[in-house]
Amino acid sequence: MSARGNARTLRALRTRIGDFRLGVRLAVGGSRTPWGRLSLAAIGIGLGVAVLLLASSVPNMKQARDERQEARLAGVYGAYSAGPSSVDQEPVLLTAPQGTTFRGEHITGRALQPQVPDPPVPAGLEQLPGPGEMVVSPALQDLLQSPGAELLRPRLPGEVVGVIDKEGLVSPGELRYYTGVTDLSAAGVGVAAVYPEKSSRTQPGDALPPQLWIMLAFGVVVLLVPVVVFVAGTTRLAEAARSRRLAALRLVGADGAQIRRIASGEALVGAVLGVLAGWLFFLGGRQLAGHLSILGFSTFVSDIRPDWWMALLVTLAIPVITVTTAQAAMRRTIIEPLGVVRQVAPRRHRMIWRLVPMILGVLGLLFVGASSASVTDLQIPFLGSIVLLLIGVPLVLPWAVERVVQRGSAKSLPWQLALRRLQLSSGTAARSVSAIAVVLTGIIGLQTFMATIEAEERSQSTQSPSSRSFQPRHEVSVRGELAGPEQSLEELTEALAGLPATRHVEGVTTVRFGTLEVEEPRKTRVKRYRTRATIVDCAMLRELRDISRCRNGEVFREAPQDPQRTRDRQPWREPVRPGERLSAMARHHGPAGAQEHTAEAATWQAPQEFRQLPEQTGPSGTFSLSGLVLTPQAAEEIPWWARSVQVGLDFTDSASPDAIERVRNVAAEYLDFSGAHQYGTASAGSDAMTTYALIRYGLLLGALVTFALIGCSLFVTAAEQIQERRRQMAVLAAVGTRRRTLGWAAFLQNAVPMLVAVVLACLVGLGLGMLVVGVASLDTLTFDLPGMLGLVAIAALSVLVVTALTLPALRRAMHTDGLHSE
Amino acid sequence: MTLDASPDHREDAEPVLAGSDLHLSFGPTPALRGASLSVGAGETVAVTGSSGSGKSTLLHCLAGILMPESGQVRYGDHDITALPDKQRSALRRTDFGFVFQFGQLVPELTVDENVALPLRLAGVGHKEARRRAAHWMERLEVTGIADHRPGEISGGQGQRTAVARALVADPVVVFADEPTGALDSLAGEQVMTLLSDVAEESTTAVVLVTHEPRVAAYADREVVIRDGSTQREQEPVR
Amino acid sequence: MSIGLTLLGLLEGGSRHGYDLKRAYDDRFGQNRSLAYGQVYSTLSRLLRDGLVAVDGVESGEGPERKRYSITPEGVEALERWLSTSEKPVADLHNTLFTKVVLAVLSGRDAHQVLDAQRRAHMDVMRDLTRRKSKADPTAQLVHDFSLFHLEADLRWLELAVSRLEQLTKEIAP
Ligand SMILES: Nc1ncnc2c1ncn2[C@@H]1O[C@H](COP(=O)(O)OP(=O)(O)OP(=O)(O)O)[C@@H](O)[C@H]1O
Ligand SMILES: [Mg+2]
Repeated sequence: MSARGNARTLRALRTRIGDFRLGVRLAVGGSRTPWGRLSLAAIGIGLGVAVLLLASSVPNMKQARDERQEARLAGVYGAYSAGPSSVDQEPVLLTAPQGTTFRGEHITGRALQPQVPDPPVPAGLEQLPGPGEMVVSPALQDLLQSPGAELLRPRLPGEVVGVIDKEGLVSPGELRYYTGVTDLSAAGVGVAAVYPEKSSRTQPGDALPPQLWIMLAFGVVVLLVPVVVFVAGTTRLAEAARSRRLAALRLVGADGAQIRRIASGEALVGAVLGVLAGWLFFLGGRQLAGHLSILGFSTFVSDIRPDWWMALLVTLAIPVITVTTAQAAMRRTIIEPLGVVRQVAPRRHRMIWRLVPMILGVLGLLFVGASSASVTDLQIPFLGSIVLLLIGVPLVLPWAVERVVQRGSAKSLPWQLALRRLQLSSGTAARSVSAIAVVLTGIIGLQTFMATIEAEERSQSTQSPSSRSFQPRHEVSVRGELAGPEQSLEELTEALAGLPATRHVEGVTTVRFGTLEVEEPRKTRVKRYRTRATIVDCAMLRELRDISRCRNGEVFREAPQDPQRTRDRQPWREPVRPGERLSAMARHHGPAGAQEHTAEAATWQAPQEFRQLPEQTGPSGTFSLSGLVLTPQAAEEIPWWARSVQVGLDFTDSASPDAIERVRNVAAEYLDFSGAHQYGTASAGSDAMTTYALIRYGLLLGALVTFALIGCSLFVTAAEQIQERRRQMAVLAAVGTRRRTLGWAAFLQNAVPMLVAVVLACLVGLGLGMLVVGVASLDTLTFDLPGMLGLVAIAALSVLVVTALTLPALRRAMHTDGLHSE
Repeated sequence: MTLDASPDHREDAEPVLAGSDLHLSFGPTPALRGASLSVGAGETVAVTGSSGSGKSTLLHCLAGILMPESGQVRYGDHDITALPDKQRSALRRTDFGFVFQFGQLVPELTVDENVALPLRLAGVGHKEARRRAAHWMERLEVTGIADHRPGEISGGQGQRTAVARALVADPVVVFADEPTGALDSLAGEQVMTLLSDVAEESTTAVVLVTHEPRVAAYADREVVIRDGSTQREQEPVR
Repeated sequence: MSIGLTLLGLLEGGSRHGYDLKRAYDDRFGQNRSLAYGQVYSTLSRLLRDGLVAVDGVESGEGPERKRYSITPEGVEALERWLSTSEKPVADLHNTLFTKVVLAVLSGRDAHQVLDAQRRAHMDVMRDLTRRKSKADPTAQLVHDFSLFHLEADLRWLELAVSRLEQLTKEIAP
């Protein structure tokens, strides 16, 4: 290349950099106003960045927890024992799970029993606790020292000799302990044996059921898209002034590319400040989150960290988004600068391309819904479609607002002022409500989906007979395994009845029966589970079921289930044949479990004739009868170690909240692995149900954060309007317009776009909800009308808030030098 | 980009800029209905006419800011109306200078930065741009308010700043829309004297829109526009 | 306008010969026509008679003898009185133009033609004045300004008159 060519490129480059610098200069140039605007933009973008960083930390938070959980399992569960004959080696450590509940909080524990002098130590421990000793987590230590701990102590009698270190804990608030024991047997069911060579078996995490996955993914998208929209909106703060300024540059000869570069320079200042602020917010908020425990969740500060590439993405994407929006916003300035300078009403927005994302989103969701593949395999199309649909809202909104204000003809003066202003700058007006419109759309969609799931669940549970089992016969249910041959159900019920606050104590024992089979290829003898048996005396059985005749020694059998269902779901549940020999299975993890193998295998022969167990009619309560029901006389050969205990009891009205803890203490005295649950307190229920509840809580929390952001966006809107209207207000005030008129005009000017936004959001949100319901293949489409009304109320409230925020500025504009400002 | 269009002789030579038979309407409102105007190097042409007659519109068409619906604007070898936007912008930056009727100073920039703006847009270095801006600010007597922002100066000072900005890049054509609108007689006279001096010194063509005959008298020629069409085109003087 | 009072004003700066006075007058005020010598001397003798000027002395050398005039206190007083009284506004200055325009409009002719022709004539003069002004010294500039403002006023009045009359004819016309 010639020297001249080089010089030319150099000059072009310098011009480019010069444009950019000019943009920066314009952003930080003005008198006192831009600092206010800049810091608003920075705070707005910063909050968005912080939320995005936090959201991108969630997978890591979960992973860090899982990893530590895994690590401590790997140290403990080296290999799962499946009976002594399956492995030839001698284990180095035996361990069994323990745990209890105290005042609604779960405490998990592990019994450890070394088999060699230097056994492996679980993560977070320095050495194994000796027999009768405990190592506890810091949170448990605090709990044990707190007042009222004497109600917990009987269940955790060990002497505390150490504290579990961070790497042995999943979260800072975790309640956990390790205790040393001597009576574990490798043969005990549930006892894990650790072998010298580590063959750590990682269990793959359970995949979420599709409905829950949809809810979670949908929720996350619904909460994060408004954040991005909000960030984009923040960059367009005070855009009218910026357009006018850049149009002036355009008139003296800046070409389109230059205007874009200058606009980029301007936008970038806010974006860079915003990203910096975002990191500050994130780091500060992280520190705060480390000390918070929300809904029983706590996290280590060091776990709240986004993946480096996520962090990089957020850090870079935000400036890119802001610059792109700023450039897109300059389109009109570039095409008709004269119109911008003279404040001519812009040309009509064209509808077609604005509809494209929404149409694509609808088609995408229809496709995912129609596709035979599972949603979890179509993650990208599913989430992409939702994003497109949501992004479509702020695109269609300006058009809708324009349409509405173009129609209006004003009669009163405030209407006239508001409508005329909206006609001139319907874009700004639409933008100010776009974040809220996206949130509304998303949440209405989510509400529809959740309401449908709930309705589905309700309808299923009212249809199925098992729903009746939800009505407990007793207030409290106690379960456990008999701790030794000297303990019995009768003693336990007596001890429980002796407590001051209890009444109506009754109990049953249950047994699990299996059949012995020889398993290829190693010819191992294994017991395979067949059925459950409940041992109930005739008096109680009559209460539980509609039985007219019951003699001691009789055996009842559940009516055979629908054979189809039995084969599909529970192939082991073939009905027990008359005269069949079954062997009792130990449920014990502890010393009792070993008995199963050392003692003569306890066999039990079914009678030649069964009585039919009638269908359940009333509430079955605490005791659910299934499989076999044995009267005590028919169960005499069944040894103590095979018996589990279920006791139900009620509290007197004067019972203190701690009564349940006393019950637990008594249960712990007689039973191994005991637990007591009081209905109507902490959530019981299936795993899926708790995950569902968790996701709901998570979404609720996210919604709160997003709404807080929207609060900021309202403030930003108010600020923008103050900026834009100062002169107009001053002029109107100068010619003697009454303040009330101006106030009304301001209110209408806010209310009209909000109304349009709410209507649009309701329509699109309901459509979105219906489409997602279709994707999840649910039938009982249900709308959450109260929820929707709540959202609409929030929107209405926000109009009032914005107007209220604008009023002081209005008052100021009415007696300051608003007229003089350029 | 600079188009090669600076003929040296002012009389009988080719005009620098010539718009002919320009038509433009804003929706139903016709603003220009066959307006023509040409200006030679070093010549000052006054465009006069009553309010709303289309003076500003004509000026904007000549400068390539508005695109007429029909008609031509010749500048050197080019028809401005046929140039792509990028080249029209470049022309405005390098060859034209502007004093607009409304909203021309950038409120965020100080007076000296506003004056240096065309140079900066054209890629002139910071120091050089400042130096050249300082020269023109001195000639227009706005040096004292160099650090002020447009919101803090008087209307007349703003207008003088705008004139300084129009002249700073040594333009071939200066378009001035009511450059003395906010000035008292003496200040207006100073600005006009300066403009005509510059036109004379550097053979700059000036298109001057005004409604004041006294200001129009500084021009070499007057074109009256009435209802969007020019009344008296190309009439030689003397 | 009084030549006598103008001469008094010129003499206030210091005594002068009659010839000097004529030159100064022509420089400052004589843009349209220069003062004749005879007029200078007749005016001066009238001022002398009224006691507004006095003869300082007579210089005789080659050529005609030259009298040196200076202003008297009475002269200063007369000058001040004149400067502080306003001129009678000339309302009927453009009688002819007015007549033309009215006639054009009323007779259905295009008043713009009258206007344009007059504007052209006015603008030619104004351009000329403007050009001359740029080369003149400050006091002469003031004189040019005076003419310019007056010519401008004429033009504006003329334009207004045309617009008004057009409106009027539109209203009158069936
Ligand atoms: N952006 C626009 N949209 C619609 N009409 C316009 C626009 N710009 C100008 N006009 C109309 O075009 C006509 C000419 O306007 P222009 O600004 O050229 O007038 P002007 O001669 O400069 O007036 P003035 O001396 O008052 O500045 C006017 O009738 C005006 O209403
Ligand atoms: Mg104009």
